[in-house]
This record gives sequence, structure tokens and C-alpha cells, in this order.
Amino acid sequence: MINQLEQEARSIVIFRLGAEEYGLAIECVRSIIRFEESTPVPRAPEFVLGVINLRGQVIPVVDLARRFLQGDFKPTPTARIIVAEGESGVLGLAVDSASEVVSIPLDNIKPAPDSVLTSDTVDAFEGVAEREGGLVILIDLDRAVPRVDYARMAGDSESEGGSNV
Amino acid sequence: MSDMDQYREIFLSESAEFIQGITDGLLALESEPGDLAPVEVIFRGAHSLKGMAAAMGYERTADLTHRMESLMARVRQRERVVDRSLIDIMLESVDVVRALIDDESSGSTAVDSTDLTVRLVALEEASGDVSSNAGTVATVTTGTGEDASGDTNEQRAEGLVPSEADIAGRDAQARPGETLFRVAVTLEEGCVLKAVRAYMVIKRLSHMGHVVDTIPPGRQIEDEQFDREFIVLLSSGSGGRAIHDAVLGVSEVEECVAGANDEAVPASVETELAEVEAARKRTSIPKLSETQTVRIAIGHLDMLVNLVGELVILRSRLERVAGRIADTELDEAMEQLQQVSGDLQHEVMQTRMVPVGNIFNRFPRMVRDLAHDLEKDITFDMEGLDIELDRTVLDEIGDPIVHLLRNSIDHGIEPAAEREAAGKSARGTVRLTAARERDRIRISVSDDGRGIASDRVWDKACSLGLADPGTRGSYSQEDILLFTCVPGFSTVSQATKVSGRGVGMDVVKGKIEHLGGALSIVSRPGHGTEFVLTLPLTLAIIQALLVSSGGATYALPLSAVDEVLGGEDMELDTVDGSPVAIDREGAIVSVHHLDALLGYSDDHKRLPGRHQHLVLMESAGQRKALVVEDLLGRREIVIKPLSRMLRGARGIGGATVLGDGRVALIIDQRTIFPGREETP
Repeated sequence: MINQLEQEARSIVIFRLGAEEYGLAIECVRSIIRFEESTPVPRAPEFVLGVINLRGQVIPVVDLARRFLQGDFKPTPTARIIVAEGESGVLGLAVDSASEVVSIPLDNIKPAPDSVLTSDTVDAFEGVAEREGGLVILIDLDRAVPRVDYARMAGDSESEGGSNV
Repeated sequence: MSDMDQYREIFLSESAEFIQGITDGLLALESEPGDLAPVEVIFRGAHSLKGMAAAMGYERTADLTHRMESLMARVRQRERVVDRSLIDIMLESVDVVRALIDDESSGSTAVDSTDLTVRLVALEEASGDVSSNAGTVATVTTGTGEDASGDTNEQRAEGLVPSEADIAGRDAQARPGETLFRVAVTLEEGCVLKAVRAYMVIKRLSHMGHVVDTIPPGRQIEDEQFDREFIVLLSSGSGGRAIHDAVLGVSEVEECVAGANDEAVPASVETELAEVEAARKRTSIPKLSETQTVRIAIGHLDMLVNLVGELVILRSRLERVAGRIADTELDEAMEQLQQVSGDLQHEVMQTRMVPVGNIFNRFPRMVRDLAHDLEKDITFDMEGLDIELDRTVLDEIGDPIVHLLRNSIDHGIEPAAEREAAGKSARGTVRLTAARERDRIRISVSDDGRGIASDRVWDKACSLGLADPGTRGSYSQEDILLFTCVPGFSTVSQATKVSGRGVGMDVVKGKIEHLGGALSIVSRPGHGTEFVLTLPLTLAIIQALLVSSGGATYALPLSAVDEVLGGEDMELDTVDGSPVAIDREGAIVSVHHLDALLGYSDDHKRLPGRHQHLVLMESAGQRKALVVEDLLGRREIVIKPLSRMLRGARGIGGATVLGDGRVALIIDQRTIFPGREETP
């Protein structure tokens, strides 16, 4: 019986961004490291903070705050980078804090209510789960980090006269 | 990986070597039909393939290679001349063998070689008739009273005949109306009753004609004093095929080669075998085994290179720490570490270096086929095959070179009549050369054909709107020819099936530049065209100049940096309000601020300050001056790719990790500067 319960639950890494709690399936998380300043990349997509050195590998750090909260990420002492692997390769997610992995029964996962959705983020969320009276928003990594046709973007900005992105 | 998979991998890589050997041999044979040395290589290659394929259970491959071997055995015994039809069918067989191996190793049955097998057998049988009838191969010693030994001497002078004088052959003559056959019989390995089998063979043959002699002599055969091979000289009115079949009718006979005895027979099988052995040693030992080599999976090598890259980064971190601590013993150890890691890095990079011959070796065949298809007579020269290039670079340049070769053959070389009318030799020449120039490799594809008319290219460029007709003076000849690399550009109105000039040239240029190389075209109408690819030796580790701009550190590939000037040394001016620098030669160089190029500043037109530095760089054949805040020194850096998310960022070629663990972006000198049309 207990086994069955466990099978029907998902392990979720919980992180905080602004006032909200978000969750990311543990399968796509590689590690969680202390936040570090990244090297900005000129004309990078706006949600990319820059690149960092992860044990010799250069990975981009994505600012989810820009996407979900329409604000810039402001590092605090508890800030972390969640290193995750999605369709576009290994990347870091800048978050305010991340400390817990919880098991959430599948039954507790519900479609996201309209109140938390904007047209921008409608794809990014897999659903919400109730936890200790609060709501955890589960994100879909590959959709939360839009795949950009960077060559096209760069081309566009070029044709507009090299405007600063 | 299962055992069978492992064997398959070994089989696939080894068979590729044999196939290459056979191809090289055939091409050599075609160009020098008189020199039969390559025949041995081809024969042995087919033989080895046959054995390997049989061991793997690839029956169709084994069968076809067996046919190839048999046909080459005829040539080897000089019962078949080397002509176009032979080379063609053998090359075709090589292609089919390659396809069969792919087919059978993947468990498929899609490739059918029956038709080819039939044609190979037909050719093999025809060859027996040819020599018995008319002596196409050499003089047949039928009983005409001609001095056989005279022939022998003549042939010996040509190096065709084993040097041992032959006694048996001297008086061996066919009876009138009959042909003297030399029947070489090989018994199966492990044949127990050798003497009995040999007796049965000789008995059968004696029914078909007169047994003139045997090698070794009859007594030795009876005493089993021979290995597995013996030769019977038979004067007979029957055909070679009938003799062959009769002998194979005896059990435990592995092979029988019956041919008209058109040459003196060697004194003994031993002499002949020794000769064969010597020939094998001379020609067929693949180059690889001359030096001791091992096969290593590419993945391991890549991992080694990555690890060495890490080591280089760690070393520079340690150097920083050591600099702070300032301890003599530590400094000494650091110096040694520097030495050792430097050597290690060098060695590891060496393991990735592969001779360009590895990919060039497939070109002669391609050029030959193409020349035949297009009915052009072409000499193909290759040079610098031992020049080594990083494997990752080498893997990428094969297709571009193929494209350039096709271009030269199809469009460069004129038809023979046109060449002669222009006072050139009818036979065109295409050359492919590789040479090392400092830390770069120069690969050139040139032809002595008609050249490219730059006027036509220019007109086309203008009509396509790529250039303004009034601006011709500002383009060099070479710049104009590079228009052929613009996508969709072609000066040939009728694209041929091989290549329309211009089709794909954009791809070639793109590929070369992606590899950090450059393409240039030089052409003299009426005299020929040369395409030059300059490529970096290696991709992973480069020398770089570290600079800072806007508080961030950037790496400039040192190979692109010509000169560095301090604020004091700069001679500045403005043209149309834009800053320019005057270089040492007095030339005017446009000045670009790195921060502005990267989009961090909008002020393109300010004059560099006294505290700033100018880096003179070469970009797409033009000199540019780059303004940076500070020079941080010269470093060896490991190039790391940027995430897929950031790839294509203009002006950024990648990233590297600095000694302190921070990431610095590598500036791509080819894309950082604005193009001609955007010049501020």
C-alpha cells in the first residue's frame, strides 16, 4: 500500500521566486549551486542573465523572474542557481532560494487556475499542487525557457538598426 | 557491447582499410598498366576481405570478394591484361563490396550483387580464352620453333619474370595444334593425402593431353615433398576452363589456376613463392603497420582533450595563487608543473592530429570517375598528404574539398578541343595540395582550366543587386570572385548535373568560416583558378589576447591580432565624423569601440581616449582597429562552446574559463565588425 502511494507521487524541487513557490520535477534537476554573478552575453535573449562556469562547462543562466514576475532578478544571500537539463541543453535557473525536495502525490496536482496564468506563462506551468496550505506552481522546464531562434532574433534586431536588446 | 558488435566494429574499420588499399591499387594500375606491383596488393586485399567477411558470416561479401580475387589471380598470372574494362569492373566491385558490407553488417538484404558476380565470372573466363588464342598477354610458347629462352630474357629485362632461370620451361613445348598450359593447383589446408590428391589431378590431366612436366618433379610429389601447391605443365587441345573444372573435380583441391604457359615457369614453387612473398613485402604492407599504432575510440580522445583543457585552467589558477604566496619552492614546483602539463597538452593534441591523406585518399577515385563521366582527360596531383590536421577540422573539410574539386573538373577544365585551340595541352591538371603555414593549414585546389571571368561575375553581382555598378573601383579582383560564394549566385546559365558554379559555394565558404578558416579565390582567365582554404591547426586550444572593455574581460584570438598600440602611439583622425587611425604603413584604418560593437554603448563616433588601447586586427581581409580599455596579457585559452540558446550571437565565437573561474567571451573577429554596407 505504501509502495503504491510512493509510485503515485512525484519528487519536486521547491524554489522560491518573489512571493511565489514554484516546483520543478527532480528528473530534470542536476544540482543546486550558490548564486554567482554571471558574465553577460551581448545581445542575448532578454531572459538570459549571462553565462557561468560550471566545472569547466559554460552554461547560460536564465532569469525566470523576468518571465514570471515581469521584474529583474535581484540576488539575495539565499539566492541559488538550479542547474537543470532540458531540450536546449544544460542551463541554470536563477531563484531566490531552493532548499527542499518534496514528494507530491499525483492526486494533489491540479491544472493551474486562471488567476496565476497570463497569456505569456500559460504554457510554462504544468499545474499547481497544494502544500502546507499554500500553492506550489509546477513549471515545465522546456516551456518555461522558450526556445529561441537566436539567429533570427539577432537578424531582426540587426535590421532594426542594431537596437539594444 | 556484445562480442559480435565488437568484432563487427573491428571488421568495419579493417575492411575500410583493405577497400582503400584495393582502390589505390586499381588507380595506380590504371595509370601505369605496365607496372604489375599493385596487382599483388589488390589480390591480397580481396583475399583478406574474403576471409574476414566469411568469418563474420557475410556470405554475399565473401562471394563477391572471392570473384574479385579470382579475376585478379588471372591478372597476377598474366593471363589477363590490365585494361579499362578490368579496372572499371573492379572499381564497381569495390563500390558494391562497400554497399554489401553496410548491408550485411546491418542485417539487411537490400543489396544484390548477382549481376556483377555474373559479369566478373564472364570476364574471368574470357581472360583464359584470350591468352590461349592470341597471346594478348605475352608470347605464347606454342611449338613454332621460336627460342623460348629468348622470350624469357626479354621479359626478365622488364622485370616481369622471376629472376631464377627456368630449366623445365626451356624444352617444355606444346605438341602441334595444342596449347601448353600451366596448371597451378592448390590443395586444401589440412589435406591429409596430398600425394594421392596430386596423383589424381595429374592422372585426370593426362586424359586431357600430354603432361610435359611437373613442379616439383614427379618423384618429389610422390614423396609429398611440397607444401600445398604444385604446378603441372600440360600440352592440351582443351580450353583452360575445361582443365580448371577437371582439376576442381578432385576432392580436397582448393584452387586451380590454368593458363596458357606464356612465360617461362620458375624453377621451383619455392622460388615463385619467395618471389610472391617479396612482392608482398614490397607493396602490400599497409602504411599503418609500419609504425606501432593502436585503435582508440574517438570518445576517449575527446575526453582526454577536455581533461587537459581543465588541467590548463587549473594550472593558471594555481599560478595566481602561487604569485600571491611568493614561495620559492612552490614557484619551482609550479615551473615544473608548467613544463609537464605543457608537454602533456602537446602530446594529447598530437593524438588528435590526423594526416590529411586520410580524407584525401578517396579523392583520386572520385576525380577519375568524374573525369570519365564528363569525358575529360585529367591528371590529378596531390601533395602534402602527411600534413596533419585536428580530426575535428579534418572531418568537416571533406565535403567542401569535394565541392571545389567538382567545380574545377566540371567548369575549370575545358574540353580537350578547346584546350588545344587555346594552345594548352589536351590533358588538364587538377591539383590538391596541403601545406603548413605557421599555426594554419593551407589547402589549395587548383586547375589549369579556363579561369573565372571576373567581369561576368561583376555584372552578375550588379544585376543581382549585390553591388553598385559605380563602385567597382573599391573592389579587389579577389573580392569580386568571392561574390560567387553568395547564396544563389551562379555564372553558369546551364547548371550541369555535377555542379553549377556558385551552387553550394556559399555552403563551402560558410563551412570553412565556421571552422575558423577563410576561403579565397585567385583566378587568371585562360590560365586557371585556385581556391585556397586556410584553416586553424586545431580548434580546442588557442592563444588569445585578453582585453577588458566596460568592466568585462574578453579574449581576442591572437592569430587575428596584428599589432597593439597604446594611447600615446595612436595617430588618429576623423573621416565624416567617424574616427580612423593611421597605421604604420600610412593606411587609414576604421576605428571601432568594442563596447559599442557589443551593444553596450551607442557612441560609435567618439575618439579613443589616451588611456585606451588600439588593437589592430585582420577581419575578412581588411584591417580594423578595435578600441579596448585595458590589455590583460596573452594567454592560452580553452575554447568552450556557448549554449545552444546563445549560439549565433554575432561577434561572439565562444567562451573560455579564466584562471579565476570566471567566464570570458571570445570575440569572433570575422563577425564582430559591421559589414561594408553598415560601415558607420
